[in-house]
Amino acid sequence: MGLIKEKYEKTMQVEGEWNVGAYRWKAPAGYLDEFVRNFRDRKITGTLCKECGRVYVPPREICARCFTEITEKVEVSQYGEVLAFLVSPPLQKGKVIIAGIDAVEAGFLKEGERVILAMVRFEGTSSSMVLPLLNVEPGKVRVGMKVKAVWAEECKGVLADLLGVKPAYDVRFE
Amino acid sequence: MRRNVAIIGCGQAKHGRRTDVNQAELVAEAVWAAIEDAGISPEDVEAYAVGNMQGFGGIAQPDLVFADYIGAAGKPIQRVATGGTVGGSTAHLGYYEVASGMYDVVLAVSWEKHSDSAEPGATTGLLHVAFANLSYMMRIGMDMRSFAIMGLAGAAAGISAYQAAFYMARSGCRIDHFDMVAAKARRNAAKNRYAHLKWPGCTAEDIAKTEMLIWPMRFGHVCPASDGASCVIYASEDAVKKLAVERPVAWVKGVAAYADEEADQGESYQGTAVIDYSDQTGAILSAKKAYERAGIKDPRKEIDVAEIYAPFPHQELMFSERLGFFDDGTAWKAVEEGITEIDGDFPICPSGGVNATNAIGSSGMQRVVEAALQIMGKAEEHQVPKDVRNAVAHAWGGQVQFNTIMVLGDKPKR
Repeated sequence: MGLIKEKYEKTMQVEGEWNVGAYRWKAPAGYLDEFVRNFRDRKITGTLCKECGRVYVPPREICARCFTEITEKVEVSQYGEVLAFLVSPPLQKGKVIIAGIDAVEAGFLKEGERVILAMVRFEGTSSSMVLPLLNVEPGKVRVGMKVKAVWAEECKGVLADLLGVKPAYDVRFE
Repeated sequence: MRRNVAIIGCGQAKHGRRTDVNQAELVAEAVWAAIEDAGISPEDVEAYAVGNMQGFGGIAQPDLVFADYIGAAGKPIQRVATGGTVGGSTAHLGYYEVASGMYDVVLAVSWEKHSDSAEPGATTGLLHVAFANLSYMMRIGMDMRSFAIMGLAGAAAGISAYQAAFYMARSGCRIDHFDMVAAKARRNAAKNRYAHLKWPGCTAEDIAKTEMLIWPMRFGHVCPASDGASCVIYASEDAVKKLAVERPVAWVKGVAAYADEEADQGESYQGTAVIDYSDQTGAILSAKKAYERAGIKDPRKEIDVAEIYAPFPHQELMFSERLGFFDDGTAWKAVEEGITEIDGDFPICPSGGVNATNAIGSSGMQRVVEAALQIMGKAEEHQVPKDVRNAVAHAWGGQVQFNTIMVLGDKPKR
């Protein structure tokens, strides 16, 4: 076979950017909008499947196991437990580049901070949410530890109102 | 009626950063190696099953441009794209085509060329997957800090880091067990001429010295983004008699693929009831069904070697339990005892596995190739030093919820 690899040592690179047009997606408006709107009142709401009793937070329109439409909405507890977690190293400039933006330099993340992300199951739910775990040293975090929701000072009914979770009880450093 | 099917030839491209070839040439490398290994001519191949993820290698429909490179022009061809399981699913497709009686000789090839995309590795491809969800979350008021935090946790490595944490909580294993598994992968890869990250004599201490990327995941735990292709050729029992004659073949004894509910936050920020990423119900179901079809009752005793899809070391431990080789939460003890080493009682990933070589589309198929090579006794330096009668090839992917299993044996199922 007359392969190119026998003729050229390396494949070619063409630099440049092309706008290939836009994507359009269908996303569920309605019940998720209501979910974040309730953040204004510092409420966490989910949906309850009447067939199997699962409570989904964030809410879900159709139960993934029963395939029935969920119409029942429920408010759930502000308290939950950590199912799993991960911890970032101390953040530095130039290390976290997202979509071309240095998140530390732009001020979205603080220099030297260690972000802990937890999978949290709020009491009374059958699902989990990924949320930052605040006000705790990485060494003190345990799977199964009780946490509670932390809200922004002024809630506007947006996803960002729910800042994360913090230990539900005071941690004593003794 | 299901027919007996054998793998009569295997081929792999050298995996790594392959700027010396274009995608068609990379695929051709594996295909022609397999055709040569099978001792057949391209005219004998009746149909092609090809597998690749769109976007991961910078080309959306690579199957459109290479048919002539692999002898597929004018022949039936189908493409599969199922994330990490691409290779596993493509291997299944090729098997189905022969088992069903549709064709007698089918070639299945699967590949990825990560270095063709500008972003490191699969980021571009994963953005394709996540972008709809992310933009929706921006619409309902996600701020830049949350966006940055999500980017920080990273795409596949991020999900796997949660999974590792779930697994640690579930099994009681420690990060040093991950170090041991990763070191074993590097050592085994050093014996495999097609592997990417080779490190002869690598120890757990070497891995432990690498930077902690995001606890509990070290740099030394993370798989590379490789370029590569893997290929197998299937033949029906009659065709084996005609084509393979005395050459060793690997018989497909049982296959199964199951999906679980989407883990992580679901499509468009919807909730999901999967609250333990390390549970992997799909893997348990796949294994159970594949063993049943293969007539295997005790996998730990009847299976001699396993190639598990484990880009990250905790997955080798987790899946080896889900596939029934060890009791729940005990795989790390087997690693401590050296049972899963290449010369151990139950070798896992003697090829070095996905942790040492990850060209996504190729990875699932490579597990099938490696399992077949062990049965044929053609794994060269990383051949396990014992009789291999049955081997298992596993692949994992999707939004952490797809699993495929193929059980191969040295004799056809009766």
